[in-house]
Amino acid sequence: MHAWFALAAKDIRLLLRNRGALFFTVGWPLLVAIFFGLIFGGGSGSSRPKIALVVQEQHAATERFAQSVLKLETLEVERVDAATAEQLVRQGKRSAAIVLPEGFGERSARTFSGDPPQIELWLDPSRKAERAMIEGMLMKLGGEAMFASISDPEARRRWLAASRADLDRVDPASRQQFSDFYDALDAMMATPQASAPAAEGAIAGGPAFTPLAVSSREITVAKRGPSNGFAISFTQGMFWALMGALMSFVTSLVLERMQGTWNRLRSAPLTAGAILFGKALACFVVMLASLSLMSLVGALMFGVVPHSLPKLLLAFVAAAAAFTGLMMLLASLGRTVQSASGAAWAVMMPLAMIGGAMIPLFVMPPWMLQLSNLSPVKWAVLGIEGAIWRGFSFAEMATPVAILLATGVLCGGLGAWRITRQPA
Amino acid sequence: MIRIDSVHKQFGSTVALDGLSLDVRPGEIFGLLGPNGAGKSTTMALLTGLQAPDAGSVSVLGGDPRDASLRARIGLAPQSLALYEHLSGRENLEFFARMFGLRGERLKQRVDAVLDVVQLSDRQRDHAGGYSGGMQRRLNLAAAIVHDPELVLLDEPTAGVDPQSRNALFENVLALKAGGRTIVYTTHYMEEVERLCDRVAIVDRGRVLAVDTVAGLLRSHGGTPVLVVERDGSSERIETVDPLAELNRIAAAGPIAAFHVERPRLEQVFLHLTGRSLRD
Repeated sequence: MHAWFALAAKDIRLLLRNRGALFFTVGWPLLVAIFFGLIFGGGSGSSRPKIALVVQEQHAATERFAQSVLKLETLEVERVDAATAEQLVRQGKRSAAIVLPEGFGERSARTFSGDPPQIELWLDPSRKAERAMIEGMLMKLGGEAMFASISDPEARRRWLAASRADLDRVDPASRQQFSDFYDALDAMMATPQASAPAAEGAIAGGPAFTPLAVSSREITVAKRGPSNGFAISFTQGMFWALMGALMSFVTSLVLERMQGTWNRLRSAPLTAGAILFGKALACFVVMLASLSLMSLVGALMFGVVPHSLPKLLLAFVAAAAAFTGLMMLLASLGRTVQSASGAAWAVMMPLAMIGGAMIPLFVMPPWMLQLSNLSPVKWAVLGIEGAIWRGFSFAEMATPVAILLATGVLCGGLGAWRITRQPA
Repeated sequence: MIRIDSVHKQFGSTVALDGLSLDVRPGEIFGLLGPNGAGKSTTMALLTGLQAPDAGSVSVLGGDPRDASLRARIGLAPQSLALYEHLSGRENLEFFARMFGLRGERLKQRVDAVLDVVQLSDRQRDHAGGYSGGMQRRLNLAAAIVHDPELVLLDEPTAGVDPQSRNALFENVLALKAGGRTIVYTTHYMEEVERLCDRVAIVDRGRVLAVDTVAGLLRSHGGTPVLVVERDGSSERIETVDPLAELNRIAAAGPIAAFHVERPRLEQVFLHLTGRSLRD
């Protein structure tokens, strides 16, 4: 076990010190992704999630809240009617719709009594990440709206009057505490030193309340498509990241044999299988790291946000396993760097062409799609796209993941078998 | 220590070893002398378990070298520089030491010790790719002995090395012998064998032609020394087993302008045994 990690650490260290190999494993795939993303029209001008806003009543507080939502810098919000919003979400053209229903404004005036103001969130059930982000932003806006209502003397007067009128609806055990709190708040906010922390402190330890209640309505996206051109180009860039690592490790494995380090390692108390496993482990880790880096850059800078992180990780693991196995097999095809890398390009390029790494799968004619089933590149692309923008369920992910893992095991096993049988 | 008995090894149609037999004793430097393609490296591959014989038997340290636990007691310096150029000298040694199971303080002590032996302590942080040829050869040797093996196999350890580095390597090899290690040393340089080896096997076309000490080989196969005498403007060559007595006899008969003795070398031994020069 220790030897595996020592072997893998050695190979990763060697890769990090080889600027050329490092560039083709990390830098080149990013350049490909960005360049072709721009060509595909990926630069839509915004990487912010697109959200629809529906306002279902005429009320000053509701309108104020709607305006604050429209001003959010982290979301691209467009105000539309309910039917349009539902259609946009269903078509996948908007990540979600925020709905301010009737009664929202009235409830905003009664923060500590009755039900909090309700907001509906319409979105696809798979969009858990967006849901958490939007809910957090709405809660923040709700808190700010409440504070604004008690900071303005006239608004505060109306808010306190409404709250005092509702005292009989408050839990009897807390009724006196709320009454005292309203009196203290009124007196305190009238002073020039009034500040937000004082208002928050006044309710600390009291009954829990929430400035908003967010309920969700699930709208399943009928047909998904890539959110922008970068969603396509980054998947293709990820293929090049896998390819860069594959070629680096094919070269590395052949060089071990050419330079004699393979014989030196074989003269150590290690099996050939252990040495090859250490090499495969390094290759797998580099591929996984490179894919993760691509995904991070895509998400942070180009709006390529995966619809499911666990599924993306699953796709990455399966793709890295398949390409690691291919690396082992291709390294067994040549005794020199030239012959092995030549064989690797000769095998991988056709697989990439029919596999969707050069021509996107969704624009392929049917016959080519059929042919692409033979290429592990297709299943890697499909698995990654499934997790990024195709919205695959785990059941849908099972096929590409199983094919990729089987490819990794079969190719890796065959490659290792061939290498261990070649003369020292 | 090592017993190779009637080993045959063939790669395709090429016969690498043709009934080769050897015995190496504990604590000696045993030389394998032969031209390129004689079977020296194949013999080394058998001794480290990298190859299995097609026929015959190989016993190293009392066991089969294909047994992984036994290989921990053997150190190999391959003919090619088996090093990672983008790792420093120290990182190379630490890595190979780990492959032989060394850990922690023991690993550090051994790496420090071998760096000192091969005089690379001051360059230990530099990438091996930046070393001179001689320094790389010394590092190649250090990687073979970092785990303190009982048996050290040196396959053409001075190939492409300048005279100064060659002398440093000779000192390292002699120090290993002084430390009780058994060494198998392959080369096609006769001077190295004459200087270092306790016993020598002359190998050609996969067979051992003769095994003995250098002196024994010269006696048995080197032929008679030649006394060359110059007098009266001419040179005379006289084969004699006792050049001093012959010189005295000639000097008594008249004045001698100059003389020298041509003693047999391993080159003559090889020529005698194979009918061709070692460098053919």
